[in-house]
Amino acid sequence: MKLRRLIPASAIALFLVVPTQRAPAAEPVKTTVAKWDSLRTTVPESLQDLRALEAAVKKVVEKASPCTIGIIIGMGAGSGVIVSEDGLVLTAAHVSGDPGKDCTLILPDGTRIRGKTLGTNDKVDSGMIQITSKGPNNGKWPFIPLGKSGSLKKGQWLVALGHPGGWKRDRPPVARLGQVQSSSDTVVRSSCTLVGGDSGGPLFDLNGNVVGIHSRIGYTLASNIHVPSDAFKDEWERLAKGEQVGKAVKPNAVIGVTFEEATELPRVESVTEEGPADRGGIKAGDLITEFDGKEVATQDEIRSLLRRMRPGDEVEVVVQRGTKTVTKTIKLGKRDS
Amino acid sequence: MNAFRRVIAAAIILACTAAPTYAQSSSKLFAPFQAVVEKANASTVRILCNDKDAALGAIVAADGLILTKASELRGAITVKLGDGSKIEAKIVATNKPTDLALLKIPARGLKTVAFADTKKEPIGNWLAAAGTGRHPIAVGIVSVMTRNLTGFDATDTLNQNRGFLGIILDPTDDPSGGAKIKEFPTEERGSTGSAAKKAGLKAGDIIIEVNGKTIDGSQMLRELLENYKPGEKVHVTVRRKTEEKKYTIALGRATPSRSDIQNAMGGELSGRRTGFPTVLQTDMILDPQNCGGPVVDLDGKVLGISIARAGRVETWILPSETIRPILADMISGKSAVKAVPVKKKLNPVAPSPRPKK
Repeated sequence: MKLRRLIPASAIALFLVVPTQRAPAAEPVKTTVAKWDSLRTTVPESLQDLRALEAAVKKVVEKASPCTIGIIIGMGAGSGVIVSEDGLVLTAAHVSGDPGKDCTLILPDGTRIRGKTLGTNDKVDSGMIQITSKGPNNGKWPFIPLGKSGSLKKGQWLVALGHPGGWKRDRPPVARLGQVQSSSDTVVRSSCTLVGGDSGGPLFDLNGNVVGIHSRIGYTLASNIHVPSDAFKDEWERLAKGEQVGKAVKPNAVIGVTFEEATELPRVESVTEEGPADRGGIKAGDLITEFDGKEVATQDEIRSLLRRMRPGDEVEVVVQRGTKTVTKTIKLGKRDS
Repeated sequence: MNAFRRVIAAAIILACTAAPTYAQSSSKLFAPFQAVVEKANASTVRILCNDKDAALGAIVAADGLILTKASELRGAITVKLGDGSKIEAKIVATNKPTDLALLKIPARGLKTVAFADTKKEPIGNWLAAAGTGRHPIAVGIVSVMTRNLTGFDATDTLNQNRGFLGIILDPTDDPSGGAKIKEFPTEERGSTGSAAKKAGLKAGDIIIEVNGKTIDGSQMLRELLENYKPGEKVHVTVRRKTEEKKYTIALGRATPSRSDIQNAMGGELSGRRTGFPTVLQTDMILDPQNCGGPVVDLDGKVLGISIARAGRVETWILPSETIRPILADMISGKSAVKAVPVKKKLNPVAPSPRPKK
């Protein structure tokens, strides 16, 4: 480092002695860096380990940063990640909110593109958005594949990207390094610190796959909670269709039968004309013994199963008709409001 | 912090009973960094103010010039060297935009830091904050490459940990002096309310004196309040129409925004945590009283001075490129502190005599 000319020669008493840069101690210069095992759960133990982990982290950031986006919906700001070349984006349910809404997505270089919200699962806080703008690469978007959050082990190293405080001009996705604290079907907990604005942003394993989506924080710096990627996988079709999975829905699926009143037995007294049971081939006098693969003995049991179903669901029904056992399929209808 | 967008995150309170196990604070993780920080640690000192840990510092001249974080300094400043000796220090110069202070202690043969460029340090590189022992005091990665800050992040030099009156001042100062209260901030749910309003001050009041010191404008009032903590009492004189009224006010805290509340979850933040021209951002967790020392990469190169614990996810480093010209100015006498070198606490009980005007 050279002395600046601004320092007057007369200022001997405060002469700044700046030693020349010395080569780093001990460690010989390596041209190749050892590889960090992405499944390793322990902390680095040597300088070589540190360099290996550093190289792995940089590789993940390089691959993942172009696919990490900022999201602006209404008055709120969050983050997301592109997971398919068609422009499917994973985010948090509390970022995307109700399906069918327009939103603005911001690429790392600041380019603004458009998107439309799809489905959510409020219970785990998963959400999906579809990019509606045309992809740069012949209509294709850069994307990151999903990893297996279920395989995560405590201590495994993770990288988080996102836009803490909301997307800021001239600030690309912000990287944080941490370890898995715990992993379950509904929650991945890590030591990658998060704060408001990160919601919906991606958590990566050191293979560069998405294993979580940022959701919320607790009071300590170790309380950083992510939606497991497996939770998205399990409900992929429904989220992509714009369903609000896990949201309390008013029960309104109907079979279209009247049960006999004298007993609690699920014996059909009459069938609504052109109703779901009628079209499915259920007749008056039938005694329902199985409903949706489950043995049923009372009318209430059938009602209870129906409450958790939706209009349009196809249900297999086994009935006792006289001496015969008959299996029919009913497509559930919608209760008239 | 960007105040324009209301940020979303459902912050669910988790009863966390386990001890903090964040990777960055694990002593096992510090072990392989010993060789990395060895050289920089030899140039790192502890700064005490009134015998309490206030900051760390970086030795920049063998005869006892030390760089540290200016806004943490108050009262009697001592520097604790590697050998355990405690030496009284003077402030030679300060620079408000960078919040740097240059201290001088009588010494000889001290080991100094050499500042290396940061511009090319990529996201993901390890960073270690030098300590005064064998280990780093914190480690983390580069979260964002060296960048110029914009907006409030670049200009707001407010110390957010100081005591607040809870008033919004008129942006233009009256030529006759004083700081005029425009209005009181709207009360957020859960806030303790405006200290000044509770004491009886009204919109339109002009604050003309605080603890015996004549206030010539808003800037002066703000600078004065930098010296006080929340809870401390100040004597305030205001002019209301033709009358002068006196009040004793127990200062409150800054009204936190929603993102402030989240950023405070998990640990203390530096008081002066915005208003820097350029920063290198890291995720390392550094307590405010451990800011001010050198930060190195895996090659042991000093990339800058840790200048603020800025939020839950970020610690800011003032990069070498920004430090070098400021340091040169401070040494050459361009940013010298005039008159009183040590920031003295004004006595809140016995006001000094009113100066002749």
